[in-house]
Amino acid sequence: MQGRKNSLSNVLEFSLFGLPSFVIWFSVVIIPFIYGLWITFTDWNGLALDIHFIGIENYRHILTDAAFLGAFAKTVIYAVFTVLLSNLMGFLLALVVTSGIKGQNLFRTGFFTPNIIGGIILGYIWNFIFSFGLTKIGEAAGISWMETSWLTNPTRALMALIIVSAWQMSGYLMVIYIAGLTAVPSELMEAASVDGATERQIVTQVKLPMIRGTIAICVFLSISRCFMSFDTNLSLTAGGPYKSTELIAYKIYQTAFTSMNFGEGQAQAIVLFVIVAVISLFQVYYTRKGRVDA
Amino acid sequence: MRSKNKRKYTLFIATVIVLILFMVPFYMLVVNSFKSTAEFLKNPFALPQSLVLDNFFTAVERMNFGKSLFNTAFITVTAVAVNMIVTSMTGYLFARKKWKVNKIIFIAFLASMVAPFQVYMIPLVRIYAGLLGFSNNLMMVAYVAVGLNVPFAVFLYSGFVEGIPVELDEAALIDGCGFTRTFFYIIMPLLKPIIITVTVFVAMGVWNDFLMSSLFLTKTETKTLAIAIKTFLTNHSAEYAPMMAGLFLSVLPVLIFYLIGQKYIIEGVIAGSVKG
Amino acid sequence: MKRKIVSLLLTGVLSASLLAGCGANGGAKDESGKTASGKSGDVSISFYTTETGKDDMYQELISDFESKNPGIKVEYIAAGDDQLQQWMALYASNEGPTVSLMDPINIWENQERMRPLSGEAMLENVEEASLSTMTFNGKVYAVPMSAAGIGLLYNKKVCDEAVGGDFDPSTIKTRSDLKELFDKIEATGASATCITGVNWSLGSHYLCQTYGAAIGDTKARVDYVNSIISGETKEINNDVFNGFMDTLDLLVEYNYNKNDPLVGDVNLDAMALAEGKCGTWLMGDWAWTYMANLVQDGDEFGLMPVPHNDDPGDITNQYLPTSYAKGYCVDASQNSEEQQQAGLKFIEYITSDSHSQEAQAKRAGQALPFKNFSAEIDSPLGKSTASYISAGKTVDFYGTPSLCPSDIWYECGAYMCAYITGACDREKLASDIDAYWAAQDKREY
Repeated sequence: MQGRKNSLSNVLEFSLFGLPSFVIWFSVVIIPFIYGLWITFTDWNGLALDIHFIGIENYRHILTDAAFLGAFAKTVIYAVFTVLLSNLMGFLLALVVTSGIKGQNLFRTGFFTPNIIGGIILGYIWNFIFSFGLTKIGEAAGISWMETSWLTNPTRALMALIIVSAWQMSGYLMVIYIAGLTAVPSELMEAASVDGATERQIVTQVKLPMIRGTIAICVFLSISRCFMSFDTNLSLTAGGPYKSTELIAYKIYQTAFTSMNFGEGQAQAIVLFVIVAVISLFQVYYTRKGRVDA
Repeated sequence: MRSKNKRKYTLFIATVIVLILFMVPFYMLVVNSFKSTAEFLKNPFALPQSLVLDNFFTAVERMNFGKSLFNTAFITVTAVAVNMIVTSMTGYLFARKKWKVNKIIFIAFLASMVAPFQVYMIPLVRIYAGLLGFSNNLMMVAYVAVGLNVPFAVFLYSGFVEGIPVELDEAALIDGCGFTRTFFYIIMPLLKPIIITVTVFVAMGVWNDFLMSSLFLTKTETKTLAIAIKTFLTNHSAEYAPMMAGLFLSVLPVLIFYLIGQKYIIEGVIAGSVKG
Repeated sequence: MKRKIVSLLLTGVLSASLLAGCGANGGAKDESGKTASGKSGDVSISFYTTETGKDDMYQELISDFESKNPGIKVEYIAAGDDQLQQWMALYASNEGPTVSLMDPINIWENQERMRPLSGEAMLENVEEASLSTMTFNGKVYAVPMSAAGIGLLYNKKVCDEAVGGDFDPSTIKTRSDLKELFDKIEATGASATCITGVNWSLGSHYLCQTYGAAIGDTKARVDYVNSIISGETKEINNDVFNGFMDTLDLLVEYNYNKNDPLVGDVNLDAMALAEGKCGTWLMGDWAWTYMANLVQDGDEFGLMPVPHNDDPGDITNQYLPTSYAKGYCVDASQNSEEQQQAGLKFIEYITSDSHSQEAQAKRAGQALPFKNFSAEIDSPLGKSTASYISAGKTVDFYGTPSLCPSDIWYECGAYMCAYITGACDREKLASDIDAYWAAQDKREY
């Protein structure tokens, strides 16, 4: 009797608390996703009236396509640097603006503004800075490598992409780190400080372990955002110079919407999805597992 | 004591410098709103020669600003409100009830966050706009926006709830509060900082969203600000000056919203520490 | 207390906007309901344009058209820089535009959805020469928007000073003539020429000339391209390809953006030409939209073809390639017969109405390939193209809609960009482009 009552209330709780989110998400993401999955087995160009089933041909082509694999490798490099840089910056900024520094409100807003302006426009603005701003400084200072645009050299263009992404994402992650840091009970810090811990020790031995969950969230978010990175890629480098900064999401877009190989573009996206899903689920699982519960 | 002050001072200066680096693009946005496109191209970094408001008038007129602003605000407010209610509840459920079904859904949520939008955007349009006829429907766009932000929001809420001692729930249960009452009366007030955080993120994402909404909204009277700004893009180039002005006007509401939100995050922090 | 007021206000705003939203939606529904069940004469169509940045012009033309054609309502839809994605989304929503202004290659790829226009009266007003790019399997599928001249733009003042007199572009008959001119311009202190190092300019406008008129007539072009696709021909062995690349080498050598060849920005390069910092610029007559606000009164500009060999008798060195880069087509797959008829009327208006022609000539400054066209073109570049056309000194850029694939500007544009920086040599360039072609389907006439 007790058991049945419990399970009934469980069902009620689930229906009230879990079901609405689930249903909305399922209808918006999963149903179209399955539809999209079907398209990967066809030669559809996105417009044609007839769709032909071609089996795993698209997948076979992708796995031997040097351009796709190259874009993937570049995305990994880009993601590693961007995730590290943006999390480090985001965490440091969060520490500073929760330390009771003067004008912390202004700082929080300031560091976050890059996110308020959308990625496309930011890319255009940074494009001007790299192409015409830094070059002027280079000319004035007589530094020869600064006299040419960052965006016309493959290595420096990728660096520019990393810098802009890390710069933008760190403000975003900062906000989550702030939320995490403010949840750390102040008694803990006071106790540590009474015990004679230095500020650095408080950070590394009290704050960091306490926000492991937040770190897991931030690393996950930054990884997924890196692999999905499209806006900045488009407006900052447009894949250039000569396709050397073509990141994976951009490549997918080009395959589907410029070359009109819609089925193949979809299949590329599925491959990307599987790889990133595996990486990030592992990451979340391991970081959360070691979490210290408050 | 003195060295501590000095350190604080250095830290402050360093932070200000970093802040300036962060504000450069924003500075360019504001400054170039007042220039002509030719003046902008000559030197995008310089201060404007005179304060001309023409760009703002052009932007307001060509972007159909009032209508676009209303559409954007409508979609954003609706999406944020619905999203906040349903996902905070789900986040609480997932954090507190480790049922198998919850775990599976949670993992599916996380996995779907890394699914590139390109995989399902055209199918999404085919189903909801093509088959069901919801193109140019603001409610539809808000609905999709809610759905796309479900995993992210649940992820943040459940993470936050896990940091709230479970003893609080138990105490409430002993006082006779059911699961639902506990959530609304005990937990929800504690969620304030994360609600604001999630709201800021979701609101910003929806406000600035171009790709998804452009798939559904093609008519002039249903356009959002992010779509309307495209009127300044020409083949291979752009009318930068009025575009900057239009952009400045479009981000202003989000900026104000974030500033107000900031205040509440801090208030929530103070409330939390007093209770602690 | 204050907080309560704020939250009350928020709730109020929220519910008000919800209500208003519902109202707005309801209103929209009523409107569409009216058109569907309204009086039989009422028909609403949509017009999708990939010619961006001219929203106000098109909207003005639409209201003029609506006033001249009561009973037809035109919905205006403009693409951004994502023209195909937006088009696909419209078709996916079952809202395929009645009239679309698209690149011929896209119309060709999507011809099963299009209404053949052969036999329509409005075609009689279109110059026959301009229709080949819009004709597939003997049927016309679109009406060209304008004739775009592609080549070297020149600043006459700079060139006059260089040659010490009145510069006549027709004197440049060979690559050597061009080099001579470049040397003379450099002697005045200005840069001789300018390349905008962007994929669409190099990959589409420049590279595609190597498959164009210099190869021969349309059949010869398609045969040539097909032999590259099948692997019989290697481009590195082709004289036309090498000729154009030799000229490109020359342009690279005298490039205004030489220090950083890919930094290209059309606006800045337009400014350089307008201000006389460089004497010539590899672009096309549409560049007037970037230049119009920058030029001083009295300055003269013009357009000349790019010579690709040293044979003064080769007419392709002196004939201007003109491209009919976009065309108006009518959808038959998602539009009713009534809508298609209204769409035809709209195309007829856009292409033959004098008010419409005037507006387009003023704004785009390009020559319009219509027999009744008499409006004044403001743009000296457009005038230049028009003078080549009236002298019969033009060659059709593609000749057939399907010659070059829709992504050639992006894929091969990247190889061309690498080439002008010296990141790869000509052999690598040619073999990369060969490999690109090898993955394409055979072309048809």
